[in-house]
Amino acid sequence: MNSKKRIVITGLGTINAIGNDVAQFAASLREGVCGISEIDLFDTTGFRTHKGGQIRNFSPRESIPKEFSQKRMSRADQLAFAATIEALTDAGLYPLPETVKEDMGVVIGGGSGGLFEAETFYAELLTKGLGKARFSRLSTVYCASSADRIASNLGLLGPKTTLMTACSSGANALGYARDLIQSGQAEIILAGAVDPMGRITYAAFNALKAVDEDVCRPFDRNRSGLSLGEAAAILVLESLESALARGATIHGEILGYGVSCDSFHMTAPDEKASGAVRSMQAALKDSGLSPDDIDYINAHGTATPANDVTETKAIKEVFGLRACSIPVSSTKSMHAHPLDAAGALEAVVCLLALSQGFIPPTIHFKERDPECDLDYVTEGARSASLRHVLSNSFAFGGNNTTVIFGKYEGQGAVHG
Amino acid sequence: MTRQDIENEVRDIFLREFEVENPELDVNLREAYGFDSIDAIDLLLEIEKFLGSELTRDEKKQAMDIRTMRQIIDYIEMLAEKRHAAQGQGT
Repeated sequence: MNSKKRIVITGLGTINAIGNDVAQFAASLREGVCGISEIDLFDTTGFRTHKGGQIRNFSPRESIPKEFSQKRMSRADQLAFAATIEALTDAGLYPLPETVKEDMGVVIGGGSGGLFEAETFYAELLTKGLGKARFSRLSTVYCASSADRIASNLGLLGPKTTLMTACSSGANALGYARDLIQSGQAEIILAGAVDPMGRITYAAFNALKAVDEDVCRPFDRNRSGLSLGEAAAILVLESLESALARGATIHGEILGYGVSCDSFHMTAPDEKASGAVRSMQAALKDSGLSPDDIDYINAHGTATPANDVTETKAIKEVFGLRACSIPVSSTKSMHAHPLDAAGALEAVVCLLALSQGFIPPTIHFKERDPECDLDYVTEGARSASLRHVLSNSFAFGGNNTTVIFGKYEGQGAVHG
Repeated sequence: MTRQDIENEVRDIFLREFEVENPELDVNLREAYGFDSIDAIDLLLEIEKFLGSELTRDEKKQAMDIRTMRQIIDYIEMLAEKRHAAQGQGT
């Protein structure tokens, strides 16, 4: 096992297409709810597709306590901060005690920042002229804005970082946060990610023809691309000692993470799947677990033709004959793909699966692909007692990250 | 347009755009409510909307010395009178 400090998760918060809080999200995962439908956040006229996993019924005023100003908050900042408040409340840290602020930090994965508001600014500039365009819309355009806002609103004094590695950003945020606590640079970290939908991102994925016109069908023979989504997911990470001293409820442990890169192509995964293999193997090595210990895999499972076959190939190489008996699901079939936020959102999925004893399904599956021949949990959620779950995030550019979570079984119970 | 109309409008703008409820008339807006330079740019756009006309470069320069609510109301009142007078000359 990893001989360093044990790092546990004591708080969860999320807003996404199938849940405006963790409880609703958990229920949706069990029920196989689809959050992909016609979007109305912006006009999709002229786009090839019109669907996505849009967050509905989000009211910043209801989700963010009145003591915090929302002046010039972007949609990303609002989503991230609302998820932060839920995570802190879950961890028993809201209102945040003054005594923890010095050793508390924030690590956020995200690259879009206030891009949605910047799009609005640019539209104003084109239609009304420079003099009438509202420059304050650009004040949150940089991707570090949400981490800045979380830290300044809460008065955090520890490390603050924003990571951008495309669709593995959220997973890397968790890994880096774990490292910061293990190295003694912080006691508690708010770690997670945010990625709101926007016209530019939507246009880019349409241009790539990487999106399904209907709903994404991970691992299905007729899959034709992903469904774009949006989400914020924030987790409270702390050392086991800190959690025990506070008497906090522990959702699970981060046992290990691994990172690799493909150096292959801007969007396509390495055909030999070597990057994905090295990512999973690095996470297993870091955790001290063997392939036989993994009970469930939350796949990257984007439903692009290339990802799903490559990920399947990689899982077979890492897990050998046992690969076919490990449940593998893509929850993106329900909450869509929230890009930078995917790794953090799927970390919440894994911790709910561990603590509540279930395996979430892959929905929309109709026809088996001969090249995708694992157990994709297509018949609906299963009850299961899980000890170790592995979550993959394989991003464009060949940015691969795998995180392994474990069930918390007491102070003396050690994994690996 | 009365001075009271202007004050009501400015209070609406402060609540809607800057989350400031019932600002006091003579306090320094930056010190009391965190009103910053980005807010000031937004305020000028709101004033243009309220007056229904663009501000000139010199008028925008004049606004740089504003520190209080009362000074904002004075400023808008001055602009409104100037536009009213210009309209009168035009007819």
